[in-house]
Amino acid sequence: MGMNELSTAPEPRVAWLCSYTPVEIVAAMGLRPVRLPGGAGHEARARSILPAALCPYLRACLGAALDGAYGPLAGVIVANGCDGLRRLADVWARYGPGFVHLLDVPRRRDEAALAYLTSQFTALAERLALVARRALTEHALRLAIAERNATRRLLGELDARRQGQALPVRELLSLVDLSAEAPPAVCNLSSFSAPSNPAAPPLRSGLGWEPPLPGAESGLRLAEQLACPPAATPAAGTPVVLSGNVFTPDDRPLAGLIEAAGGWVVGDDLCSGVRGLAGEVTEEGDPMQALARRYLERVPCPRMADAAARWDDLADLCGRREARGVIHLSQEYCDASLYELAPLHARLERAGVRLLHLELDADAATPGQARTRVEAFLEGL
Amino acid sequence: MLFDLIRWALANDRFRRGFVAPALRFEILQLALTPFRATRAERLLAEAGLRLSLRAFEGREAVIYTSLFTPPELLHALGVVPFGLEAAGAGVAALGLAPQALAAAERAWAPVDACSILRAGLGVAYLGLLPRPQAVVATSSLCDSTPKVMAAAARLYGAPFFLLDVPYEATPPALAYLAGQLEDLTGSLAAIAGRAPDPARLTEAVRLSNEARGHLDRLTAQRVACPGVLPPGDGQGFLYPINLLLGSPAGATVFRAFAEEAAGRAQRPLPHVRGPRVLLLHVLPYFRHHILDTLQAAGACVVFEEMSQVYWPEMDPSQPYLGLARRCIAHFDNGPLERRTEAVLELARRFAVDGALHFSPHGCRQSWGALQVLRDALAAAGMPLLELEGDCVDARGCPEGQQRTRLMAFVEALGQRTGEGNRATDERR
Repeated sequence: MGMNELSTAPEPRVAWLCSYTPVEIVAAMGLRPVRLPGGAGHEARARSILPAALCPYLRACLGAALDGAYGPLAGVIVANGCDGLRRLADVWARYGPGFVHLLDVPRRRDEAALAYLTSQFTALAERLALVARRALTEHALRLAIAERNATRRLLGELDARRQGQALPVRELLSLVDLSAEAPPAVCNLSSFSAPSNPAAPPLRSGLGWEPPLPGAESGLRLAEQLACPPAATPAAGTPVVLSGNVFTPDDRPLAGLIEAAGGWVVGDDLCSGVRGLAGEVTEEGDPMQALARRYLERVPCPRMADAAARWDDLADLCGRREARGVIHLSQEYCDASLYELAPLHARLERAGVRLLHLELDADAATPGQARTRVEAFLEGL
Repeated sequence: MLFDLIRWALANDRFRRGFVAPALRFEILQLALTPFRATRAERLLAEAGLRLSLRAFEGREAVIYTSLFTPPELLHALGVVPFGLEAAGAGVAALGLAPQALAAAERAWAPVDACSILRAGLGVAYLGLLPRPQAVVATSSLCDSTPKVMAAAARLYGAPFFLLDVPYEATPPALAYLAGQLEDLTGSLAAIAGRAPDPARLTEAVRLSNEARGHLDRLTAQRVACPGVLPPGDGQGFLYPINLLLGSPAGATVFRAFAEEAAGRAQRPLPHVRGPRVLLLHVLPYFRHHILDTLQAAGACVVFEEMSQVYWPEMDPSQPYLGLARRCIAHFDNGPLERRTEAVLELARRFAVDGALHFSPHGCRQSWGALQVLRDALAAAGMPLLELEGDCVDARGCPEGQQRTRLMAFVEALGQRTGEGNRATDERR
C-alpha cells in the first residue's frame, strides 16, 4: 500500500501537521483532513529549500509533497506552532502544492487567547469555504465535533488498557495514525470500541475507504483483532512512558527497539500519540468557541507559555501507570523541546522517575547507538 | 582565577554597589572626556547603554529582563530598568568571554546547537555575572528559543515570567489580543515595582519613541541620498537603541544626534561610494570580526543594514497599547516571509544595491529557514545573495579564512555583473 493511494479518496484532502489543527472544521466542510506522516526517502528536493538544521520531520513532509508522494492535496493547514512550521508555510506557499493556510495558535491560555483562537478558527472556516465551495453550517460542525469526540474516547479506552495488557506501542500509535487519516466512520465503528463482540463486521466492509499508509493498515488489523475477545496476554518488561513531539511512522522502529530491549510502554505523552487526542470538545454552546477552548485547554505542548503544566501531567501519568522511566523523543533541532529537558528532568526526578532523551532524525537514523542507550537506560531502571 | 574573582565581585551586592557601579560611572566619565574617541552620537549611544547598565547593577530600581522585541516604552514609562539578555550575550561576545558563558549554559542543559546569543546571555546569567531581575518579559517573536531562554532565566532567579504572545498578522482581533496583554503587563510590572501605572508617562514615552523614530527615518533618507553619511555597517549598532532605548529621552537624543551628524556630513564633500553596493541582512557577529573590513578591502560598500530600517508606523500617543501592539506585529521578521521579502526588495530598490549579504548565525532556525525564498526573490530582481554561516558570539565557530575567500569572490562577481567594476558602478548611480 503506497502513499499515493490517498488519491483514491473521494473528498478533496487537506493536509495538516500540528496537533493544534482543528480537524473538525475541515471535516465539517466536507474535506478530508489528513495528517502528513513524514516521508523517509523524499528529503532530497526539500533539502535545497529547508536547511539541514531544521526539523527533519517537516523537511520530509515537504519533500514527499514536492515528489507527489501524498497524491493530490487541495492544500495544507500549517499551525504557527514553531519556527520550523512557520518556515514550512512560507516555503510551501512558494514551492509546494495547493493552498497554504497559516493558523496562528496563541501560546497563552487565558480568555483573551481563547477569543483570539476563536477568531483564527473562524478565519480558517472562511478560507476552507472557498476551497469546499460551501459555507460552514453549525449542524455540520456539531456533527464533526461529535464524531471526533467519539474517536478520542475510543482511543482513550485503548490507551487505558496499555498498563496491564500486551498492547504494543506501535500498534496503538498506528491506530492514532488511522484516526488522523481515515474518516470517523472508519474509526468509530462499534467493533472498534467493543472488543468483546466477536460478531462485529470487518472494519473495511462497505466504507469505500482504503488505508493509505502501512501504519494505518496495521492499525486496521489491530482494530479487527480488538473486535474479538481480548487476549489475556499480560504486559511484561520495565514500564516506561514515551514523551515528546512527532513520532512518525518512519521513527517507529525505535519503539520496537525499546520493547526488544526489555521496556514496556505503558503510556505516552506524544504530540502524535495520546497527548494530541486528549480532551473532548464540549458539545453544548457555541461550537466554534467550544472547539477553540478544547484546543487551548488540552495538555500544552512545549511551545506554550505554561508548558510546565505538561510536566506535572507527565509525572502524574508515570505515577498512575507505575512507570519508572520516561523516554523523551524529539525531532532533531526542536528548540522548544530541547529547552524543556532541564526542568522536565528536575520535575521527574522529584517524582522518582528517570529520563532518557533521544533525538529523532528521519534522515540519518542511528539504531545501533540508540539501542545501546536504551538498553543502558532500562538496565539502570 | 580572574574570572572567578569577577564572578564573586558581581555576585556580591556590597561589592557590586561599591565597586562595579563606580567603575561604570568612571567609564561614562571617560567617554565624556574623550571627544576624539568617537563621534558625539556614538558617545551618547554608549553613555545611554552604560547608564542603563549602571542602573541595573546598582540594584536601586526594579530590573526587568527583556527579550529583544519587548517594547521598551512600557518599561521606561514605569521607571523600571530594562535589561536585555541578548544584549548581555552580545556584551560577553564583545569581551571575548563567550566560551565561558556558552559552557555554563551547556552545563545547565541548554541545547548545544540552538541560538548562541541566547545561550551566551543565559550562560552569563548562570555564571552569576548579571544583576538580579524582579521579573522577566519575553515576546514570542521572533523565534522559539527566545521565550524558552527567558523562562529559564526567570526560573534561575525565581522571578515571575511574562510572555507577550505576538500574533502573526495585524488583524483587529490580533491587535486587541496583544494590546490587552501589554496593558496587563503594565499593571503586573507596576505592582512589582511598587508603583501605579501612569498613563501620562506612557503617553510621553510613546511621544519620545515617535520622536526617535522620526530622527531614524530622516537618517535613513539621508543615507539613501548619500550612503557615506554613516560609516558602512554602523547602522547594525542601532539594534540596541531601537530595542532598549525607545521611549526614553536618551533614545530620542541618540537618534537626533545621529541624524544631525549625518545632515552635517551631507553638507561636506564626501568620498564617492565606490564599488558594488551591498545590503546587510539579518545580523553580524557580535565579537570583533573581519566581515566589514573584508568587504571594504575587496572594493564593496555596505550601504544599509536590514536591522536598522524603520519598519513600524508612527504610534498614536493617545492609544499607546494599540500602537505598541501594532509595532510588535509589524516587525519584518514576524508574520509571513513575504513581508520580509518585500521589505528587503524595497530596501534594495531604495539603496540601489547590487547584492545582499546574509550572515546566518548557527542555530537561528527562523533565519536559515527563510534563506531560499529570500535568495530566489532577490535573484528574480537581479541581485545575488551571499550567505555566510558562522557563530555570532564565539569566534571559534566563525571560519575567517573561508569567509574572506567567499566575500572576495562575491564582490568580484558583483563587480563583473555591474559592468566595468567599480567605476562603472559609480557612473550608473
